[in-house]
Amino acid sequence: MEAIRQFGQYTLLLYQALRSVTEFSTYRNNLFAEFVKIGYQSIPIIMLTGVFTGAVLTLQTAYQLDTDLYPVTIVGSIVGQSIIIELAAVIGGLVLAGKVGARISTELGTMRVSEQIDALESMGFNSVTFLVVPRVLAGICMFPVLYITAATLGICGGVLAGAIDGILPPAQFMQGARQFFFPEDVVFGIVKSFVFGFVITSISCFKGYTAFGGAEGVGNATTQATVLSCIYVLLSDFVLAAILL
Amino acid sequence: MNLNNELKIGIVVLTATIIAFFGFRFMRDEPLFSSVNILNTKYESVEGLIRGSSVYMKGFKVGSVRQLQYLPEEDSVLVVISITEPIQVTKGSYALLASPDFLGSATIQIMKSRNSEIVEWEGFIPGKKKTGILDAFSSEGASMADSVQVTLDLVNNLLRGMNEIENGAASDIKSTVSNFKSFSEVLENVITSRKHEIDSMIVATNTTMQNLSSLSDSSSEDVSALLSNLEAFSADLDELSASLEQSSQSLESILSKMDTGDGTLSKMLNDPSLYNNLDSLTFNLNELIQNIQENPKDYLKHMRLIEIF
Repeated sequence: MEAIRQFGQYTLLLYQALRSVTEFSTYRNNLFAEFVKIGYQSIPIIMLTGVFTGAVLTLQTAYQLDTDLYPVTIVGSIVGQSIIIELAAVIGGLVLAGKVGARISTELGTMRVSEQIDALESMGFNSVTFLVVPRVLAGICMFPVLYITAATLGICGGVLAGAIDGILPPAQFMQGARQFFFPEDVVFGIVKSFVFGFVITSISCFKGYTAFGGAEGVGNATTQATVLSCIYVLLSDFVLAAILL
Repeated sequence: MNLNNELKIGIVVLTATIIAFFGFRFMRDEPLFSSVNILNTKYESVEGLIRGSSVYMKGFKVGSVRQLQYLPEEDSVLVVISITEPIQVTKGSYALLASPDFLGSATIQIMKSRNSEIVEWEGFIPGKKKTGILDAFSSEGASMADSVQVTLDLVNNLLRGMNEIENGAASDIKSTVSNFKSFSEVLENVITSRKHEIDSMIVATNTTMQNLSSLSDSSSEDVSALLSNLEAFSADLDELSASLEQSSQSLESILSKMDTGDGTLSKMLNDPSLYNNLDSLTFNLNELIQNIQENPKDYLKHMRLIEIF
């Protein structure tokens, strides 16, 4: 029952946010600040995640396909397609659920328990427009950018690992990757990253916005925001795969 | 450097857009800065061909398969090829689809014609299919399986027959082997008992061979003279055989003339009238002599011995 009540609350918050999306002047400065926090400041961790995902995937694929039955280029095909379709978006999403989600829910939760949100409301600001909309919009806009970064660096990591470990030269890796490169996969990855951006930021905003009970309440809200974000990232990944593939 | 928010966002979004654009082209195997040229071709079936399959001309990779599209009204498959190299495809060229090998990757080879007219980009060149090893197997497979079956049956029969022979003739083989064994034992005994004789025989043979050798050394001149004589003789024989051949040819022509011609000999051989005449003459003579013997008076009357003497 509590879950349904929270879902209703969440829908209501989204409705309020959607309704005030047009009030651009209200949240313009906040939006740019969030672009920087969600996009620009997440680039290092996303680069690291991408490179290591690609590298590890290459080593493990080569280990699993250690037979003369397949051409060695198949490693490039598997790594390239896996990263573009799945790993860049999902692993990036999970990492950002921790980094971005936790920050948003803590920020909003602290503002809620220290009654800053109430202060905003009393000054005549629409707190949802001012706090929630820029964060969710920034998430939706910046996650595809981070996905492209992660996918590119993932393939670079795969090429590097293949070359350094002597599994296959870069040319063969790219030959295999190109053989199974379909533009729809990239579109699918970008759609996923849009959805993950929305899921992570909206859940974190909701959990932070509805936090209560002092420092402990903020802690709980942050934990719940991170855990729920991860769960819903995986759930929406499954739903998207079932619908779009 | 202290970057303001707008600059940071601009850098991030611009970089991502550039990466996405060039990464996309790079992954599709398209040149990063120059444009791609398109050629179309059609096949009845495109087994093993996938998007991204390589396109070669004279063994050099010039592009890749960009798109495959089934045309229901023609029941064929349209293949869109993107050419990334600066080549020119002449009219009359065709795209040869090499069937998949055991690893399952098909390729297209552009076979250039000697025509000087150039096919426009986005134009059409005809597609032909080359039979690969798998096609050959699948088309010849049934007949090959039949012949393999027949061969196996024959081998089976042969083995069965050999098995039966083995069972039947096992005792014969055994006795043959034991006979051979006893024979070899006897031979060994003989050799052992007559070892000295055999040794002396070998020594004698050796001496004979040495004598022969010294003889041939000493009389090598004689032998060479003999050989030259033999040579002259064989040359004479050659001449003789040539003249003999000539003679036989003339004889053959005479005989053929006799056989077919109109000469006397030929008529004697071929015309039975002489024989018939001679035969009847002989008969008449016989009769005459017989008549004379039987009735000498008839003849003597006319002969008048008195007149004679």
